[in-house]
Amino acid sequence: MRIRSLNLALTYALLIAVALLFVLPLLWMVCVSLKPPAEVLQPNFLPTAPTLTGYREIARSAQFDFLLYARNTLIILVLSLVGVLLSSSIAAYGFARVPFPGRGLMFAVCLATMMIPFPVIMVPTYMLFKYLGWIGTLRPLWVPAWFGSAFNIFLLRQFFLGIPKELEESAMLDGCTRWGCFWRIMLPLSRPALAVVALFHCLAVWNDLIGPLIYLTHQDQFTLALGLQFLQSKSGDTPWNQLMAASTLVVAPVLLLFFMAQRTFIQGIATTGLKG
Amino acid sequence: MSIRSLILVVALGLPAVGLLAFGPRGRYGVPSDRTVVRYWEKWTGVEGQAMQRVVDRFNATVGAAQNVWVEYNAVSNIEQRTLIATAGGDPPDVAGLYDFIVPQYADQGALRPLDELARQAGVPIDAWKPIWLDICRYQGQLYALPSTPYTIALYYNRELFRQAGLDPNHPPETIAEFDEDVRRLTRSEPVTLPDGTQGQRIIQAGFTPSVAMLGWWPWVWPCFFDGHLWDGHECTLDTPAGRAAMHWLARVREAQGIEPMLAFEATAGAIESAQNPFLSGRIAMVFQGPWLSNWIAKYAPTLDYGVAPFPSVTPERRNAFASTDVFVMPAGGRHPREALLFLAYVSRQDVMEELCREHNKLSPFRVPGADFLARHPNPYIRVFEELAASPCAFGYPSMPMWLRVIDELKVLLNTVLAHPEQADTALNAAQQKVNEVVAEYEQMAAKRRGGAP
Amino acid sequence: MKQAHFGTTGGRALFSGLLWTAPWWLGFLLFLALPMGISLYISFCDYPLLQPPVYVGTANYQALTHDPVFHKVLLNTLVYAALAIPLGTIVAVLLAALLNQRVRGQGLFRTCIFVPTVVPLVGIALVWLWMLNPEYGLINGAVRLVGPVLDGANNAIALLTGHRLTWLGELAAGPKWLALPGWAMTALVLISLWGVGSPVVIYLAGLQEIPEELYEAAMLDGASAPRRFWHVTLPGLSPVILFNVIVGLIGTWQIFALPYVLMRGEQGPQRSTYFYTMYLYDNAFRYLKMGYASAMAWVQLFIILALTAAVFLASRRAVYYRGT
Repeated sequence: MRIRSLNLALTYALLIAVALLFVLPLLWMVCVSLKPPAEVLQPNFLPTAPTLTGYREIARSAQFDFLLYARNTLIILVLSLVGVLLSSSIAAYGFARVPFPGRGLMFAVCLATMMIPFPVIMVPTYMLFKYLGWIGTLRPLWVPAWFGSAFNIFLLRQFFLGIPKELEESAMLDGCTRWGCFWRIMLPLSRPALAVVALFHCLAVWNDLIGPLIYLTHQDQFTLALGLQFLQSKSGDTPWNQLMAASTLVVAPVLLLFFMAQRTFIQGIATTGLKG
Repeated sequence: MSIRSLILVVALGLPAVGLLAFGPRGRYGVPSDRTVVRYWEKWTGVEGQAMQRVVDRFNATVGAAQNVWVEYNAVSNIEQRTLIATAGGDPPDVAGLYDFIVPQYADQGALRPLDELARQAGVPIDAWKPIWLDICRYQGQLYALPSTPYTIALYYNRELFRQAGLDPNHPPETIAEFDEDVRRLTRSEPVTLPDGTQGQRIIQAGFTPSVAMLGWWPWVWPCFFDGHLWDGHECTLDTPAGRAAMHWLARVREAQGIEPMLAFEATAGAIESAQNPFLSGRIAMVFQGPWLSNWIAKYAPTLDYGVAPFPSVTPERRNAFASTDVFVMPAGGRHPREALLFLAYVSRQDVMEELCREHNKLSPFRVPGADFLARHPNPYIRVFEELAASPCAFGYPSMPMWLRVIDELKVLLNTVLAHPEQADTALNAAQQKVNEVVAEYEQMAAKRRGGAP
Repeated sequence: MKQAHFGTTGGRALFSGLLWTAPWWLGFLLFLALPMGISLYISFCDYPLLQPPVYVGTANYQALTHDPVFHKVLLNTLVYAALAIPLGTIVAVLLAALLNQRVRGQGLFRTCIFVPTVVPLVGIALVWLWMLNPEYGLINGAVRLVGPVLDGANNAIALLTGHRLTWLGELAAGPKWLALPGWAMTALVLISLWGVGSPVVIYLAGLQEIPEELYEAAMLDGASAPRRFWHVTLPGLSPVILFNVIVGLIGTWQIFALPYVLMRGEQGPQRSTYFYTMYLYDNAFRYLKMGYASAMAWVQLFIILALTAAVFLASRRAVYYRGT
């Protein structure tokens, strides 16, 4: 009993120490956002006289239209999220469970597309979207999501491979089709993995800077990540408290989403009754 | 439904749906009946706001009369974006770039020559100080218009001068005086080093060319020894002036202490704060532009400082480094005539000077308006203006392969600062490397010229 | 003809496989194949972006072999990957195991670990510049607290071996982190550990897939906690570890923004924090040598592909798929 509680105390101590270490940038950001302009970036961690000036200014700022940018980001997110989940899981199932000649090679090519650095395909990709007439629209930012992404396909394939084959085999003996196996067995069993994919996709869209930078031409379409750039100045007049206030506002929903959704990673299988 | 998912819906889902349904739509609309001039700019933050006001005024006045609408688009990675769009055949009509990129673009034929066009549009080219036109020219052709120009001068901390027993009204005028001042303004204390021996710790440095400590132009020093880096064909580092400059850097470094200075430079705090080494009094003299006074006003309003020309080896030659942000018109832009209307508007003395004042920079005009000087945020703006008027003012070397060369020059400076005794070999190595870069570029350019029909 | 082909068993399998993987290969053909093909062609050209490409044969690839900066960035990147991937994997697996403990506030702890992954880069860079400052930074503050201990250890080493360890001496005195080649690399690797949020989430998801009864069986056999971790958790996680190692390989190889922001756009002392993708980017968009950059990209593709293949081969024995 004593060993157990000692164990527990140790676990907590470790967890708290690690959590503090990791949460530091957020604390720092919030602290800077609460500092008066003259004190920002000083080595003192806590603001001497906390003030909401940064938040008030950012709410009134003509430079950073939080609601408009948030709406644009949400549009991209909504339009792409369903697509990325569906297409990636279908393709991943194909790579994990449907044996066909050339599968290994095709999967290797799929992985290889992750390894080509974006800078060298930026210009041809831009030309392609220009040919399609998509420059200056949100389309380059969400349509490709409907065709899966190598990262998500790879991630889901690894998870599918970890699910016992017997489940599907017995279902197929009962007359279940491949699609039925995928839809009624694989997907429900992969809820944790799908939650991870969804979370990462939200993050990727939320933080993507380079895509909106290249393809969006009009301030009406700007996303949050691109909007944050408006606050940074080259010659020393960056309003750090405003920038950090805006960053805090941008980060908060993502962290809230994570906090709420993280339980899905635990629940997933426990509730679907795989245990028995 | 668990409480958690209820919270999830209430805290995130509802606001998201609400935002999608009722959130603000575009509010920066373009009037459909006007010709749209696409203007991409690198300025964000306060500078961006100042430019946005100029654009708004243009759209409300000249633009309204001529049926032109300038669409201002600013993000900080604008160089890359302009490149991609230009390569993709879809460049903006006007782009705000840096002067040192102009030769690179011009040499590729990516910019519209502006001599004729600007004159026709009534841009007051002849009213500008000659240095700004020089900087905007490449091989005799005008490819850019100055937007917010600046020169770089020596800021010195008068209080530290006093403490060191120096005359706060007498900034250094010769290299020898400069060296002596640096020596007297550098203070250190004894410490025990990691290996157990005794050493020095710098608590205040007279000056350092380190990039981390506000020395943003690592290539510039030979020019204060009356040298120049580029004659149109050859990049010459290994000249008497170049050597003298490197030996001077090495000499100052050795006098200050090599290891202590490196340790000192590693402690540079955030530039945009009271940690700025000049603002905190840890460096007595820095080589900086007019905008530094913004930071002083914001983070160290009580700092007692002065501004003077950086000394030259020949004092009567007032060598002065000048540079400017520029407007260019990419060759493939769709509305050159309308774009010129806008550029002519921005170049009007009243408009331009208000912009430059808000950016805390210089006026390109030979005779700046009285209002410009009187209301300028930098109390020493006249010193900077005089430097721009110097016949020995110089800009970036007008080299199309400059960005490759500058990276080698940074390596050169860092080597000299870390190992002053190797200054000569480092200079030779850099010269050789730079020769290769230039030769490679020329070879390819020749091949292209030969390959063209 | 076609129908006849699809009539065979192999043909039917191929058809069904192509149908399932259609989302991927359609997208590949639509959005990636052409740009990738063009970049391959451009790697055999001189292409300054603002003028059309001119074919130069294998000149770019030949130039790579004797470009000292290329060799430098290649070495830097390999060293960084060799340090960051194993360390990152160990830290992420351990953290995931720790965060999988059923304790109060579990969700909060998990969220904390994820924080550095979502904070914008400006914030991350600023906080690290502040923490790594040799004078008032938190890290050197901590180092100075244990400095005497390190010095003592160093003295003991000196007694035993006859000479002191320079790096230990420097560490005890508080290093000039970003200003010295070795320490700057160390700092970057340490900071990379801080970004383990994503792999930790994947591991957490993976941990949920390990059947409880395996643990119960191990408990019945009297296996201690470390043994259970070694014999149940690790094999169960192995497909996910493989995934993370490969994604980590690709990710570390493409490290770009963090060193760029931390070093204020400089290449670091003696180009020690100048990495492969940074040089590639400079070639593409600063030096306007897109052909050279493309050649670098394809060399990179083959290096990572070879490393990935090596990892896959090596993992054949180590990775355990319950599904097969």
